[in-house]
Order: sequence, then C-alpha cells, then structure tokens
Amino acid sequence: MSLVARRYTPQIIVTIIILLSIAFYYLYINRDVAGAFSTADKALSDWAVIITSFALIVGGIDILRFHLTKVRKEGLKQAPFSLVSIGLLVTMVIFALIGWYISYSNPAAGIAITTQPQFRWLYLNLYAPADAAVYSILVFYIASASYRAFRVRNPMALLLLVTALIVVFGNTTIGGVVWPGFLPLRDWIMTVPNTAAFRPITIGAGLGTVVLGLRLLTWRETSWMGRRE
Amino acid sequence: MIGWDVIGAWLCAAMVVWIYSFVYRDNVFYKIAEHMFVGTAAGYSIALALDSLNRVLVSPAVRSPHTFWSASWHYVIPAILGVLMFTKYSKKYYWLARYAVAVNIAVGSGLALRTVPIANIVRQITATIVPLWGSDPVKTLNNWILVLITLGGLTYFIFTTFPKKAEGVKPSLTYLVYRGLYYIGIYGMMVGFGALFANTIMTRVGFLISVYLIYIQPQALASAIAAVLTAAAIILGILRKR
Repeated sequence: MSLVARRYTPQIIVTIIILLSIAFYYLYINRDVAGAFSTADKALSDWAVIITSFALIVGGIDILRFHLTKVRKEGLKQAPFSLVSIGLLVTMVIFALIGWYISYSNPAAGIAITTQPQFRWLYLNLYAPADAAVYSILVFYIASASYRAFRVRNPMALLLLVTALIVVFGNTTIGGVVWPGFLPLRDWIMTVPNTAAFRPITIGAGLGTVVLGLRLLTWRETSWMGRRE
Repeated sequence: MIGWDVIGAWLCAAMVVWIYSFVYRDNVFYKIAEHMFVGTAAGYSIALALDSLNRVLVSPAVRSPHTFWSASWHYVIPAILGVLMFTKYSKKYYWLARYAVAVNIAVGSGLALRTVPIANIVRQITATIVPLWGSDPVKTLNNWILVLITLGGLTYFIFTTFPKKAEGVKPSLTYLVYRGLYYIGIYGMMVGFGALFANTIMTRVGFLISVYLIYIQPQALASAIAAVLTAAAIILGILRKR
C-alpha cells in the first residue's frame, strides 16, 4: 500500500479531529452550531471508549501470546507459572462471557458481565487482595528510598527532610502529642510553599501538553504510529 | 463442609503473604501469586472492556435497534476501527491499526487542548496574581512566598536562557536576580517534594495497615500457614543454590 494510506491518512484524521475539536470549542458561531458540536463531541468521546475497549482486548491477547511464547521457548522451568496466568485469564474471560450471555438470555436474574458470581469470586478473592498487596508492597521500597533521600548532604536535603518530618508528624496523632504546632505548620506548608512549588510544574505540564498537541497537528509527532516503513 | 467462602478467605490471605514474601527474597510462592495476579488482572481488564462495549455499543443496538440505527449508526465506524486493531499481528496489514489509534490520539489531544490551557496555565497564573501589599502582615508574607517560589520555579524550568557570568567582572543585576529566583525556586520545590514524599509515605503505610486489617489479621491461621510455606520455599531455594 502506498505511503498515503499507511502514514498520511491517519495523520490527516488526527489533524481534522483536533482542529474541529478546538475550533468549535473556542469559536462560538451560533446556538445551532454549538448544539451540533456538543452532540458530535459526545459521539466522539463514545468512539474513543469503543476503540479503547478494543485496545484493552488486544492488550489481553498480547499477554496471552507472551505467556504462550514463554511456555514454548522456556519449557518446564517457566511453563507452570505461565500456564497459571493463561488459565486464570481464560477463566475470567469465560465467566465474563457467561455473565454477558445471561444478561441477555435472562435479564430478570440481574447478572451482568462483572457481577457474574464466579467472576466476582475470582475478583474478590484473588484479584482484589493481590492488587492491594502489590500496591502496598511499595511501602518497603519507599522506606529504603526515604533512607537515601533523607540523608542530609546539603541544605536542600535538610529542607526536604525537615518538611517531610513536619508533614508526617502533622498527619499523625503522635505529632499532635509531641508538639501541637505540627498540625498548623503542616497546613501552612501544604497551602503556601507546596502550592507555589507545584504551580510552575503544573504550568510546565500544561505547556508540554499544548506543545504535544501542536506537534501532532503539524505532523512532527509520529511516535504513536509505531514502526516506520 | 468447607464452602467457597472459606476457600476464598484462605486464598486472600495466602495471596497477600506470598506477594509480601518478595520483600525478603524471590521464591516459588511469590512467582505463583504474581502469575495469578497477572492472569486475573488481564482477564479483568478484558471483562471491563467487554462491559464498556456492551454498554455503549451492543446493548443499545440489541435492545432498541430502531433508535440505534437511526441516531447512533455511526458507532459502527469505531467498532470497525477497533476490529482493525487486531491487524497489528499481521506483518502486511499492521498499518491499518493506526486508524483506530489516530482517532483515539486526536480525541485525547483535542480534549486536552481545550481544558489544559485554561486549567493548567491561565488559572495557575491568575491564582498567582495576588496583592503584595496589604494590612494583614501574615497574608502579605504568604503572598510574597507564593509569588517568589512560583516565579523561582518558572525561572528554574527555563533551561534555554541562562545569563552567563563574565569572568573577572562584577555580576550584572539581571544575573543576580535570575540566580536569586533560581535558588528560591529550587528551595521552594524541595519543600514541595518533601511534603509530597511525606504524603506518599503516609498513603503507602495506610494502605499496608488496611491490607493487614482486611486480609491478614482476620485470617491469621491461613496467613501463618502461607508464611510457613513461603519460608520453607525460601530456605529450600537457598539450600539448592548452595
């Protein structure tokens, strides 16, 4: 296929959608146009939801392919673990599909994709505790990171340490017992210096987003297209 | 008779203990728990995707086809584009997946270009324009700190223009102002990062305590057995390596 279909047409789609999206938002023509834009805008958001759903399914299939490849290449050493992943992935999807089927064949049962009993059992007893454990395990890494970050090597590190201690003591009951001033001091830090410190970062991130949008508009940003021809 | 509820509770406790065992050392039970988590997480995300598709596309098309085909027929286009995403597995037609990505990128970028300039730039600047002289000294001091740290941070992030200090010459006023703001910015951000880091620590510790209270402590026996199994696996692993 020609380069037009492979690269230029997707870029033209990006340009048109971004331009229309910005133009009708910032330029008010009349009430009818604004109403039509609002309807089209809602439809476009739904388009994105539909495409994202397919992307999630593609991602799930990627994980399946990854583990199948591992089973094939690494043999008995990795196979039991990968088979556990594959088995649970397929089981979850089968239960979800059963829930989907029931939601149409017997709507009175009140069962949907995510409320199918076996799916819910797996979610509550396997996914939820594992998810919570994986995220909370970071506290141990944070502990070692804080040891490194809070070593006072220069005045900046000292400021970091003092602020962190004040905020920690201000957030805990023991802080109030040690010195009642921790709470108001923490409140002041969060309202004044903390707000001011993150303001330039927010502005910078905003400028970055605008620049990224402009790069997409001018076809300079092409990394989203993946591999090059 | 052991019910599914009991099995589920034991599984909960075992999953948490096995995942925590990684803090000491990688072991077979951690690997099992990790792969179980990956499998269920992938399955769950696919189920959520199916749920979204059902809510936006399939259910309206099946339950009220007349309304769907007269008003929302265009939802078929993203569905086709979504199906085209599967062409990424083809060496010949992989580029067709770009059409779907293009729509998503454009919608996301279009939304961001509408909201970000106001929320991230204009509102932040207007919030920084505060009175620097007033009757309340505390408020005035706070306003000065707010403005100086914001300006300092912005100065710090301007990487392209930094006034050079000429050798053997007294530094210019521009240089001094720039340098002063630069350091105020750095110190201000250190305060911000300290507060952020402290809040992160607090959140994570809170999360750890809640995981203990929800999963480990109510199922103490299951947790203890899972811990013993993990300890045995770790010891066996160490012995085998020797």
